[in-house]
Amino acid sequence: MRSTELRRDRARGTILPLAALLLFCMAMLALWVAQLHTGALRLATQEVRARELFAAAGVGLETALAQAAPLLANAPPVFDADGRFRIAGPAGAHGDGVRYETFFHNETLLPFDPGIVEIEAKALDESGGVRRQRQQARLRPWLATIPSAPLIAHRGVSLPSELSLRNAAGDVLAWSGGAFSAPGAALDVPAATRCPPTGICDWTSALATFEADAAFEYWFARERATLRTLSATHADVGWLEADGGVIIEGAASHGSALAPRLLIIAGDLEVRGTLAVHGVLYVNGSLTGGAGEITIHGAMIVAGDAMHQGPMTIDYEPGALQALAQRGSYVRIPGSWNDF
Amino acid sequence: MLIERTLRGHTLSELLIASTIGIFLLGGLLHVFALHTGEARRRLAEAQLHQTLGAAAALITGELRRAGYWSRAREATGGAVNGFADIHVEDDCVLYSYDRDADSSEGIPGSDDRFGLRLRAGALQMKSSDSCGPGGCTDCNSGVWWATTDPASVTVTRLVFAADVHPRSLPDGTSVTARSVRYVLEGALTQNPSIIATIAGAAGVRNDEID
Repeated sequence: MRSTELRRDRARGTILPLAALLLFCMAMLALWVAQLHTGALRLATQEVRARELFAAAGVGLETALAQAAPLLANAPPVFDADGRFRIAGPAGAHGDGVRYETFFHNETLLPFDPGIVEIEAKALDESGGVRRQRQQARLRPWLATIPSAPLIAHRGVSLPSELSLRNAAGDVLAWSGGAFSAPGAALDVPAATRCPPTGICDWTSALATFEADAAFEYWFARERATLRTLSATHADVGWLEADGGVIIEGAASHGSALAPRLLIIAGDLEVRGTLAVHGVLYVNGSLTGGAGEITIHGAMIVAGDAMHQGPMTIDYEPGALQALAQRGSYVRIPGSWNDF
Repeated sequence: MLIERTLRGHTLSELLIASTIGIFLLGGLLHVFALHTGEARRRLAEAQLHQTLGAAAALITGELRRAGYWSRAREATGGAVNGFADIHVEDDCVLYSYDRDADSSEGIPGSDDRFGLRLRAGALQMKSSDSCGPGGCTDCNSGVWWATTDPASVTVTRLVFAADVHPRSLPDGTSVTARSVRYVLEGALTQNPSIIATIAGAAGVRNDEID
């Protein structure tokens, strides 16, 4: 009997370590599989994170590019002793736990060119991941061609006696691509430089040949759709359009002496109330016989015919035009993007 | 009598039956473990393959995006020529350049600005420099190349590049050509060539070429 008990105890003593060894092996196997999955998951997560960071930096770059002109106009660069500047641009979040910061600077643009800026977008996540994108951008002015006369009409001009054109800076009061009729207009140019015999220089050979799209690009070096989009984010550009043309009934005022504005009318314009513009009024159609009052400090360009029954005063102001020629939107410089 | 019966133990036939059942159970268990282990190994191998090819694809995309960068690109719109703009595409090779150290004042790539990607000896290789002249590099066999993948673990079996060009005008009227490069990357595990993976992608070149 004692020998039987001993045998059974010995059997227990053999089986128990074997069971423990088996359990240990199973645990190690489970751990190994878990580690494999964790490792693969970590790699996949890192890859996704890198993509998210790059996308966030791209969003930051686009946002900064769109807002560069108004931001830099309101916060002009302050240069250090080496002629460098660095200004914080828009910042925001993009995706889960990823944010971006942007900067405007001229670190690789020395000597400084006031029309060019380098935009840097940096995306960061909570785990310390960082991706950068950089892009140089050039200022594209609102006015590609500065009008040299207070009134320019690509077609004919028919204006009433209450027309006052002033040009203290030159001898041209109006350019017209068609017949010019302004009986009794008050013309104010230096007598010595006044175009004989009327003081109005008709230049019919070129203006009339412009199609509407060509005229638009001639003055603004942009397509209409582009400028329309930009007007949503740039306060110095106004865009008005309506089915059948724009009709101004009440009093409308655009721009000021300190902040001249480019006002685009996308079609015909009829002024029944009062319209005052400090800057440039561009009518991408015709001015159609309203009886309201138009006052322009800057210049007016009409892509079609200029017909108006009410009083009109256009005072050519080179300062307002120069300001619009120095402001604009920033466009990418081809070949200047990098992410290192 | 009862005590004696309890302490008597098992008969030989009981032990044989129990042992047989135990062996079958243990065998089944080991078989299941073996299956799991094999599956885990296969999944690990596939994951390694995908990871290797994914990293290679990310390298291709990231590199080609940079093609054409010149630190003084602003001068190109004034008439200077951006010598970094060319991208040379062959079936299994693409050559490009960018101003890595932002030190090119003339728009001519230096030897350390010339890069390339190609398939050779079962590996994705990258060119890190080439002293070919300013006339451009179109020889996929010149320059210093190094492997970015390890053929001992993953064999890249196929690499195909194809370029797409899209002429367009910028808002300022400048005519440019936007470019993208499509690629197909195929690889297999060197130890187990039956495990293969394919990645198809496209890299949009961020630096347009001025016409």
